[in-house]
Amino acid sequence: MPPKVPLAPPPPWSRMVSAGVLCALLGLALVFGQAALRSQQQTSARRVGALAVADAAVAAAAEVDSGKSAKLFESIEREHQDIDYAFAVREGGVDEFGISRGSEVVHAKPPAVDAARLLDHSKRVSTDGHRALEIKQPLAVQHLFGEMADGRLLVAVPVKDSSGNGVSAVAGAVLRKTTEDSPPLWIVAVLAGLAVLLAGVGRKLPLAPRVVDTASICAVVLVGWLLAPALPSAGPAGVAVLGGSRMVAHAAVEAGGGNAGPWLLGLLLLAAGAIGWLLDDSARVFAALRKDPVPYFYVGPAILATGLLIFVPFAVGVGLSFVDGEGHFVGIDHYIEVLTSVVDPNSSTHFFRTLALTTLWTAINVGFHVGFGLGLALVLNRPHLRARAFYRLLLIVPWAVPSYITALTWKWLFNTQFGPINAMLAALGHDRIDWLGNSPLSNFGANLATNVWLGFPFMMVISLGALQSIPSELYEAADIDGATTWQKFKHVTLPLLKPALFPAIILGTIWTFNAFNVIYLVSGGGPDHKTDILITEAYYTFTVLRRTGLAAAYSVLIFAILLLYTLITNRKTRATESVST
Amino acid sequence: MRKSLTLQLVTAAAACFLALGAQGCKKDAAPAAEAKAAASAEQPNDNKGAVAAAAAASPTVAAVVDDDPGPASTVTVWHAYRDAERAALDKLIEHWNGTHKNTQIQALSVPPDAIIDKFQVAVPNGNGPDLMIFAHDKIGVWARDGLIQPLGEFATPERLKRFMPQTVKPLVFEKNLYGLPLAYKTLVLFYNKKMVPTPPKTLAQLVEVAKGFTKADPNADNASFGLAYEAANLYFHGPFLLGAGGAVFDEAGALKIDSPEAKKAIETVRGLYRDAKILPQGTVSGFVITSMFNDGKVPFVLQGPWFMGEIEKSVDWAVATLPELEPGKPMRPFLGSEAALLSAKTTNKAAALRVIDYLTSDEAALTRIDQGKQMVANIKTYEMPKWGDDAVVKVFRAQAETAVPMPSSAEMSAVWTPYNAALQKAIYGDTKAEEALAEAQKRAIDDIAKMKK
Repeated sequence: MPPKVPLAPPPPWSRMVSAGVLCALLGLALVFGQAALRSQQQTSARRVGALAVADAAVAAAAEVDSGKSAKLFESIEREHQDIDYAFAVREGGVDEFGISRGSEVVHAKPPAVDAARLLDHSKRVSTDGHRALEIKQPLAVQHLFGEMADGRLLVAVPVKDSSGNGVSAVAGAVLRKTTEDSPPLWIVAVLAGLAVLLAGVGRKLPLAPRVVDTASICAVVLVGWLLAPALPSAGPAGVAVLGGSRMVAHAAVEAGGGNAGPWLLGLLLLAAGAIGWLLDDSARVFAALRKDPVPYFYVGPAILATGLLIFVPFAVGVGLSFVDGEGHFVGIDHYIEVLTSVVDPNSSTHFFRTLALTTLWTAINVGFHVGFGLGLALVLNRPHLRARAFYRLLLIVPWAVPSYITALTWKWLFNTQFGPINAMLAALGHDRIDWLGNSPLSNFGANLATNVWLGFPFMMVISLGALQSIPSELYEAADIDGATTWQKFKHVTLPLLKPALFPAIILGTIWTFNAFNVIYLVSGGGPDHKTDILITEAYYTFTVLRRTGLAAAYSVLIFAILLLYTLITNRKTRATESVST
Repeated sequence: MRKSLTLQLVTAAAACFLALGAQGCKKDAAPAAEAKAAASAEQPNDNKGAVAAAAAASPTVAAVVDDDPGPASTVTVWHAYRDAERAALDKLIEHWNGTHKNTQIQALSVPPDAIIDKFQVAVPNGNGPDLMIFAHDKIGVWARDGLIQPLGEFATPERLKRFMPQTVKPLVFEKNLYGLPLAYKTLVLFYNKKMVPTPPKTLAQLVEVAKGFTKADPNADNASFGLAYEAANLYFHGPFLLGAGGAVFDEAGALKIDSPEAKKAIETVRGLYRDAKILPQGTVSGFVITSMFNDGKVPFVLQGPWFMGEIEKSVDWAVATLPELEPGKPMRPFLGSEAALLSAKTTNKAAALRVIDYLTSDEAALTRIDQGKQMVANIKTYEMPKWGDDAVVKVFRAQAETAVPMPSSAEMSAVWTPYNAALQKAIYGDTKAEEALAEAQKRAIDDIAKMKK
């Protein structure tokens, strides 16, 4: 190992530059977040007004039989300047196939709203007998609002039929478009400058750099927050950015029940704090990069690929866990739902029971993996063993075959009527066992056998490698001291295996904890979800229950559990620290 | 090492998100053809020479080939077809692409296990196909989630007249039509003619014959059975359940798994397994059933049209309509109507509708039944002696008359897993039918409550 060369301290301006860049980004998010929030609030106000129009349209629609409705509609459109037109539609009949035909437009200008889809509780306005209104988001009858493709808002009110159960008509209005305000971009530059200034001044103070960075960025966020609402509007420049922020603001408005300020500010402060904390490292990286950029050039593609393939999907997954299937922000509802699921025998998902089973599954599996793997490695490591390469090759085969092929093969071995395992039992005069049938235990056993088969070669290879690196002098010395075979194993072999074996066990645990292939293909979680592990349960919530957010919450929890496990094991064993000599 | 392990950890967790975030295969960015022309009832004018049998063409076929309006575009079609069905579809597409300069069809074959997930993930991200070929039972879920859209005015009564009504009705969800049918699938009785010369008319007769072929033997190679089907799968249990007058939902659409009829149906099967002992021990997969039938180890299997492609040439087989449970009470299988569905996110609606029209036309149907061995939905096909008098086709058509469309509501997707578990428990295990069904009912209600609304 070459002697460590101490890094030159980062140049004084590097921190200021990185602080400025990051602050500019933050400022951008901040300013437009604020503006989007404001426009969201304006929209809400318009919606409330529009509801009154819709109510008037309902009243007008009710008069259709008396012939007064046309006049009523005209007066609605005259009185309300901010609507394009009001409409009402009544249900028509259905044809021989049950397809809605000829729904009747009582009033609509242009003569055009589809009624049928609204009328039958379905979720969006579309075609049927009338020209389609191109609606961007599904319009649930209970939602009342839909956004049309051209940006106009549509408000609709279902009119209950006489029984009170069905919907006999839909009335409402299409709102005129309004222009949106967006703030100027120069505020971003001002905030960035402020950040540079604060970071520069902060360096003179007797404080840790991290504290200075965090404090100054948070200060910038606060200033921006207070400043933003007072800014004049800036025209089209910011409209593009506004679109993105709008989604965040929309989520925040939903979460905060209209008062989303605290949410947005909290999120921004959190981000600011995190960035401030990381700045310290970034400054150091910056300095190192200046000193010798070549290594960074080499690892660049890998970092980029990892970022795109691992961290981006991961971040998206975490984000998904906070929104429901229709993209509405639900906060930590999904986590609450997962963590409060009581063990109800009629429930297909119960987190804690499954977690217990997953833990048991992992412990037994890894136990077998290490046991078999180490045992076989010891056998293979005997110095005078003949055809050792051949045995080794043979024992690695389970690892080399794709796991789903192995899983399906094992599933076949366990087949009740035709499987070789039952054929052996039958030949011995034993009854056939319905392995993958109604017994959770036999299903678990089948999964276990498959995964042990899949897992031991890895441990064997790791152990074998480590065994071969143990110098034989140590055993000779032990022999001279009169150690027994067991003593040699315990005091020489095991301690020297540890550095190789512990990281392998951590890896094996993570793999087994998420052994989706095996569970899904062999027992399928059956019978009745009793052999599900967390990852297959998450898959069930995703595929059958179609709850993307819930499945994402499961995944985040799985990640958290495994992270915790790794950190604890790591601290106890220092397993992943490189061995320094 | 430390960093790389953390990375490994993140990889493991990220793996589950990949499924969620996976991007579908991007279709060629076709400039959005305005949908406004879609509704106008265009007649197919692109079938000339599509198939040799075009002589029997419908009067709607015009002589001119290719005058597609609008800018050049590509219509993507996703399907789960394999083998013959895929070849037939590819042939139709090839013909279209050869005769149309402006609109090209691009097909993507996705394995059946993966196509549902892929579609559900891709469409909301705007990466899905323009058309999706799939059985009708997903329509409820997809319509609710906004993945497919109604055909609207395109579904003129004249157009719908060309299909068997029972293949169109299942495609209607909440009063809107979501696709045009290509083919239908139902279970029928396949039998080995060498073992059984004439098919049984009733279940009792079947059991009688089947008992003669049932031979338990510790050596699996020597054992044989009277009847094989996937008993612990609701789809294959359908003939017993529906034949007994049961259903999954009652007339009002409420979940009714634990009905007396359902109990009776399970007890009938339990009788076949426990008393008559004509079924193999334990659950059998479709793969095992195929090999049993091919090896002459079972004379009767309940299978659908897809099975024909799996039977070996050496087997002398025939099909018959499913036997009667009791006199006057036939077994009634589920009917699946396979349709071309219109994606809600298509940017190319007008062209997509024209492709639907083409694929479901009477002429295309001839290619599909002839080369794809599909039981096509077009009535005209069966008016031709070649197909109307075909022994196999006749049986499937007759079976389609008694078959019941699979429920297509979103709730149904929460029924399969618990119902199959109940069948497993009550047929192969010791649980009483009513207990197993009551449990399945509770479980399904619980899952429906948890489902995305």
